[in-house]
Amino acid sequence: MYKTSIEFCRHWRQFTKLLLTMKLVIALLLCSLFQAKAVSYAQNVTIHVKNASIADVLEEIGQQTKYDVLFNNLHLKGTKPINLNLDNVPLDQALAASLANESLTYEINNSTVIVYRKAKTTISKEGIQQTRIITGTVSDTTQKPIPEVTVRIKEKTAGVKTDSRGQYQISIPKGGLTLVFSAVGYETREITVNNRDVVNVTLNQAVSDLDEVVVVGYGTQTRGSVTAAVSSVNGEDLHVGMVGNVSNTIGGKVSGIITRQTSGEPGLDGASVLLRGTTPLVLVDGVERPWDKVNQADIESISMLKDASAVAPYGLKGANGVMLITTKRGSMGKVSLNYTGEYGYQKPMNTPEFMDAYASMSLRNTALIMDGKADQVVSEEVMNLYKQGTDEYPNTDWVGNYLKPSSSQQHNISASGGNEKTKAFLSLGYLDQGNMMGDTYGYKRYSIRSNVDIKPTPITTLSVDLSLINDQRRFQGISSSDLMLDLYRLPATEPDLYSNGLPAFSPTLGGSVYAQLHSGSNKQNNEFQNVSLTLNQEVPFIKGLSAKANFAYDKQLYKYKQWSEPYISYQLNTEGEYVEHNGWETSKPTLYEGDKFWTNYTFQGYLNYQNQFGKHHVQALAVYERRWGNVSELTAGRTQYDFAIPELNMGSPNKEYQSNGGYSTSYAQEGVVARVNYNYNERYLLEIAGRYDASYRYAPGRRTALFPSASIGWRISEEDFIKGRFSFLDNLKLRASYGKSGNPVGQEFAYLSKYLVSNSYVFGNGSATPTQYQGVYEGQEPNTFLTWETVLKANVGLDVNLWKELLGLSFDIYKDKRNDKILGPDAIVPTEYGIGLSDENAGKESRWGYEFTLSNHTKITTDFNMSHQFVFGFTRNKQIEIREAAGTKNVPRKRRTGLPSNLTWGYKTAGLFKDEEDIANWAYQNSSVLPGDIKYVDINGDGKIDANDQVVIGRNATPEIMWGYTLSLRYKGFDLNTFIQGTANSDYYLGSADRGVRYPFENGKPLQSQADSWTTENPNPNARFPRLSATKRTHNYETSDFWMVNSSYIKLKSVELGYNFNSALTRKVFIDRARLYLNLYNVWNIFSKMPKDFDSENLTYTAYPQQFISTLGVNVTF
Amino acid sequence: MVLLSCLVMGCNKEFLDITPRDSITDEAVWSSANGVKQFVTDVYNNLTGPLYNFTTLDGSWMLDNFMTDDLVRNQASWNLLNFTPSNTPIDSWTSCYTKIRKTNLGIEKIMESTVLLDEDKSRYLGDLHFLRGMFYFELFRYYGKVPLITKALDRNTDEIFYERNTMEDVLGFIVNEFQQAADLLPRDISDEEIGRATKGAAIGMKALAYLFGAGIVDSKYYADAASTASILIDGELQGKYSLFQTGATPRERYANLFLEDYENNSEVMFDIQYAYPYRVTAFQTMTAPPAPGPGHDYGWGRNFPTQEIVDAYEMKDGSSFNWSNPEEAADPYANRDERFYASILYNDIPWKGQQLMTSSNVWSNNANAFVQNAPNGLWNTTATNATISGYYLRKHSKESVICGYDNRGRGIGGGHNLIVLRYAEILLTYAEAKNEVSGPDPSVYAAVNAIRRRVDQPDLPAGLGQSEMRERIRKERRIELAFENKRYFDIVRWKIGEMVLNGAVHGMNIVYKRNNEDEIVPTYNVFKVVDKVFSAPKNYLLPIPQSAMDKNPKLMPNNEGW
Repeated sequence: MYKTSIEFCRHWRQFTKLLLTMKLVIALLLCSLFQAKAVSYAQNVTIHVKNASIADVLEEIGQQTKYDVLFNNLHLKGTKPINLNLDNVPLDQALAASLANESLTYEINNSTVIVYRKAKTTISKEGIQQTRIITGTVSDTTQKPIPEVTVRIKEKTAGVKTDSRGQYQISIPKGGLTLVFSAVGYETREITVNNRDVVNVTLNQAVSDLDEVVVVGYGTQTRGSVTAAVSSVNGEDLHVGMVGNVSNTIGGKVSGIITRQTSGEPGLDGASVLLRGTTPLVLVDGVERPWDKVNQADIESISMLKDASAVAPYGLKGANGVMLITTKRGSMGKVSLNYTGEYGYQKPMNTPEFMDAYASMSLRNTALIMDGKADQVVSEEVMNLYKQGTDEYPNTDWVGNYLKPSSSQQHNISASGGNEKTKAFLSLGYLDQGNMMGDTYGYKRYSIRSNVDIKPTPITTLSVDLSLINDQRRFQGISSSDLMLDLYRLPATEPDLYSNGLPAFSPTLGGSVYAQLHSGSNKQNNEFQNVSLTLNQEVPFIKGLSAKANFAYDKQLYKYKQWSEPYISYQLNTEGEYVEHNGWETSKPTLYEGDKFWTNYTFQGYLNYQNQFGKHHVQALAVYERRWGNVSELTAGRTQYDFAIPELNMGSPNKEYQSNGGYSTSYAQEGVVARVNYNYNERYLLEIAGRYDASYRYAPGRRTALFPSASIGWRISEEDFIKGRFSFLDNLKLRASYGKSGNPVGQEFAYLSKYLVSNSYVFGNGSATPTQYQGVYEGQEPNTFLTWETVLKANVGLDVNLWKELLGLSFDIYKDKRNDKILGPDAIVPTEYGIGLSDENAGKESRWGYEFTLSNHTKITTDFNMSHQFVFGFTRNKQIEIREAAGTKNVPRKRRTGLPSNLTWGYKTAGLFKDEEDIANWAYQNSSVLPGDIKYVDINGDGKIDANDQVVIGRNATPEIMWGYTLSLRYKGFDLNTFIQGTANSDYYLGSADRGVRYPFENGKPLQSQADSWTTENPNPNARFPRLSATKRTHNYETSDFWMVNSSYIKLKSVELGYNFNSALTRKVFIDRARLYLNLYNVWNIFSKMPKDFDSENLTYTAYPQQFISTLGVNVTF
Repeated sequence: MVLLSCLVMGCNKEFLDITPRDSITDEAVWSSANGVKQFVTDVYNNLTGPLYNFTTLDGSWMLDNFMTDDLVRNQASWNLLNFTPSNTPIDSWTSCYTKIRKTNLGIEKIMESTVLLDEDKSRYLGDLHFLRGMFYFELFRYYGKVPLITKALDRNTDEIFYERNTMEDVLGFIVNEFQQAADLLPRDISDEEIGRATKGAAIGMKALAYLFGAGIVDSKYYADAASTASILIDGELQGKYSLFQTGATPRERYANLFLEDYENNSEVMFDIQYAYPYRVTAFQTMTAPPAPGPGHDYGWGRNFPTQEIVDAYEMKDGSSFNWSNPEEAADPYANRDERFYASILYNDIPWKGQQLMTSSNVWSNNANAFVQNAPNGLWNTTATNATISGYYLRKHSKESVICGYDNRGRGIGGGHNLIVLRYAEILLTYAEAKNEVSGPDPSVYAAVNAIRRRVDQPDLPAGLGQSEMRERIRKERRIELAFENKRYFDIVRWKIGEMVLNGAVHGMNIVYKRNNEDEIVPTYNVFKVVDKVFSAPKNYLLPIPQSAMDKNPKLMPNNEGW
């Protein structure tokens, strides 16, 4: 196998032949797999020959180095025998020496040496014989070393690469030469060596590098050759200090994404991510896996696949777009060690401001008087007592007592390095996020990743990826979400802690927040274990062909343990005694615990072909994929613990106090992917892709389908009529794609008639011991026709780069048409039908939108760099067919069909009623309307307000527009990164805040802003809140635009200031590089129309507030 | 290697054939006797909803609470009847038709069944006809004219849009269901079967259906109601049921009837089964006073008796209570019908080891002053669940049951049954119907007096005219069956909504004052809790939910006024 010579082939017929043999190749791959031996081999060469043919020498070199040395016998024709005396010289020297007398040159490509006849330019003999060594470091403008930079002599194609510290060593012929430094993502630089021995180089980052490698479905492509709508972001650009969840870092960083973080609670603060308006499929290193817990520091890049062409390889799961997360891998060179340590301080932002005891009682008194219940008014004398805030007359600031600042820390250590045989990336992460509720609440995450690539032979790569993530969310007797609800509703007039430190009984709660917070324990552990084994084998006989097999075994274990302890609270009685309220005597601790396992298996077999025939570039891919797995859960509980040891075996032996449960499910999917890319002279690009897919979810016969797509690209800037004339136009590419993909939603097994069982009725109650029986009932009506939704996707895009990096623009406009959308058919079947109906493929929806990224990089002076990036996305859907009930469909004002989804219907309002006369002159609302109540608009003009007057009053809570603006400045060692995020076209309905806002005196409490309510003392028809009442005034709480607010926002999301220490100085203490930085997150609401008690992102009033986080961090590389 | 090649090359079809492990097939259910039994068990388990529910923590578990003059809810908006078809607190429509499908399907499948013994077959059919009758009776009482669907519809083959049937048809169907059930069901059942329907339950429900029909369809049904009820009193089933008499005092004899310790007693004809810890009730937690007893013992005080029901309890001597009688007004809770003490918690009585104070102020030794917030007091500014009427509910409750957490240490829950039909109601049904048919004959007196004698109330005076007797029976029903989900339908039957539900309902504000003798004494002030609004004919029926109207235009128009 090492001894090979093949004919170079540039003929089409051979290429087609190749396609025919593809089937055989998998088998060949497998053969090679089992024949590959773990041999150690040298890279250096020792050769002593006389009058040997070059072919023999090359063969010998191949043997010794285990490199494949490929040449064309025609090229060697006429070469003279050579004499060589080489002792342990590097490969390239050996090759150079062997070919020195001939017009031959070579190229090292991975572990293949290709020898071919060179063009006219020759290097003098002296040049080869008299070499010298040049060393140096390549770094970027921030002095950060760049690994994997190719360093080569200008005239040569072969070169060396920098290691992970950015250092290189190259031997060059004596004399003045030019070295070329090139790397993905950076501008290529040429440096004249002259007489220097050390050449240190700084490379500028390329804003839009057409050679940048983009991760696409089941492979990679260069930016220049991509015809699909793919946007991507580097892992580094996602870094925003102490933000634990990846999902919170991508909004506004990459086009087409809309994120919404609805809770700030550590461990539960993941944002919902929408790609072009729908929830994408997410893959980590090519496999569907839980992703939002992935350690950010391990992420190399994230790609968003948006159009039909990009998602085609994902077949029936691709319709909503695909998000690919790729983790870092080891690079060649010495091992570098990187440490990042961060310390963060966070505090809640946008928390509601409530009235104190006096103010809320006084407001309630006003309300009672207006309600005609003056007899219930609390006297001024008593109210004044509450001002003091005594045990008997408390004045509790619930929010202030519990929503406290907290601190977090995060540490990451990673090592990266390797040589030609082994490359590795190892990382260890630790995150500890504090909770505003105190020390007993919080979130911790440990993560380990090991991505190792081994080359047992020069053409074989075996990758072993391991990832372990363990996170733990802990809290005590009450979850933070329940606690938030309590804090926002418990009146200031109820006590929290008494002056003697005893937890007070709160009648509204029926207990004590404090005692609950300090009793029991709750732990939720997630353990993610991901293992991938990948074998990549280049097929030796055919250039450009490789086969790959990937097997992934993923396991997730979710473990929870909930220990509830009874707690005691106290009440101050009329005798002045603190009486115990809840006692031990009646209840004892309980324990519930459960284990839930997810096990997923993925097998992927790849065939890859890539070659260039003159100006024809061809890339082809075939993948077979199979995915299966199961979920199972076991739960157990015990009550009546005599001893406070939270273990099952310490629980009562009495069966009545024991419980258990469990279930399991499985799934399976398989598919075949094919993709062919062709480009002519990098000018005309074509891609055809598709997947034949099958899923277990549907009835036999409804399980398989083909999802094809096609896309084209035209790099206008490569055309001759542009090239010379418009030199400023570095890149101009037009793209278009069209195709079909699927979305496997709808109930599983809907094709089966299913009867479900339940713990049912009790018979024999009374004198005999009652027995609970099992019951069985019809689950739902089966639908044997159910299948996935299909989406036809069309996309047109434009990529422009002007004046090098001064201006980059990428623009996409798209239209999706979703057919067979899954709907519940309830709307067309009467309620009296009496049974749950299966989903049907009956709906139609369209969506359109556009998105663009604008970027600029300006080098103001050599020390001062500035770059901007503006990312913008808009998306809007339209329901074409939703099976709307006749009752609304036939009334134009009520019709949902033809409109975007999730709009809100309700009444339009016209302020508040001024007085009785105003009420009399207005359309009839109902008999209980009083001055200060909301005036609803009589849309149909029939003189009365009823359901027929309801119209669209609000947009979807999910914004249609999201944008982000990043400004980066670098001056010498300093860098400043500012990120502004904005959304538009969304509304928020204040209904979720009923208890606080809409009827504050029923199990809630008034906000300070409610002082501006309509009252007889404040008869302001434009008051912020309608007529005050001690009870819920139903009239005012109809769904209306009075309670609808625009939830668009502009936030200064993150500001980071960093300082990079001078490497020359740090090296003295063996530190290659050090950076110190300060990051502020959720800095400032630049614009928001929301009332200040509400956050624009939280969709519920009582959500855990967003946190303002300031992080101090240090990053050190050894 | 071969294995891997198989994986790659062979796409075996079985790979995608996964069977769900959380369900069974149609065939598995109907081809075994156990499957059928479980199916019927599930239909019993569906005896829930506003009429038969002790489990729901909030909402309309007891419709009496906001739709009558007997109770008010502490969420005042519920006390008004101003809901709309798209926003109604009670949706029996959807739930009943779901249950009706189950009974339809069960009846069809059991008729065809070859795996059941004949005896079991007729018993299960009896169960299902009884239950189908119950569900249609619920629909009938709430919505009047409803579509009669008697088969498990298949939308591929059947017409699924049904029109509403006439009142006569619906009533006739219900009566027929109960009759069929009575023919199929046994008179006596074993202890293990307690909870299943019996012949007596079916006949009793049939009498109730006739009585309701007599009120809203045609008075000719009074005769049917009387004759059906008499089967249980002096007919075929005479002696099967009797008034419960266990208890040392008349008060206990009445109070015990509803407690878990005595459930399924001789008076109970059909009840919803609850048994801790399988099917637990939240009743006591929902109704008990919020301020603590010992342990986790506090309630949510959701339903408060009104002054109207309090005043309706007679004096011990059989006379009506009268505020203008100075003696009665000075001490309004003295010498009342024993059922008052068994049904209502009022100010300054011992409850769970303390004095229950529902007054709006209370003397504090600590503060040496009157303070406003008695823990369970009226308008307590800190306790959201404190009474808004000055009373709490006692009936169905056992003083020793711990409310918040039960004495076994697990959350909220109790296990006492909810009585749907008891013999006392049969006696009152008979008396009312018979009086309408033929006036107050001795059998009418006998039926009413039997109930009064249990609680030591004097017999009705002799010589009452038909309408006097009618008033007496209505009063007796209100007291005897108070808080048992009967009052609302009685208001509908008697068409007295405009009278009793149009205007204020009242509460009792007890204020302590220092009198001239320097004693702290209560003063009694009746006050308005809320103005109820009742408009006829609208409020005599519930609106069909708008969602159901939207889907089936044949249901139009909605009930009058909605």
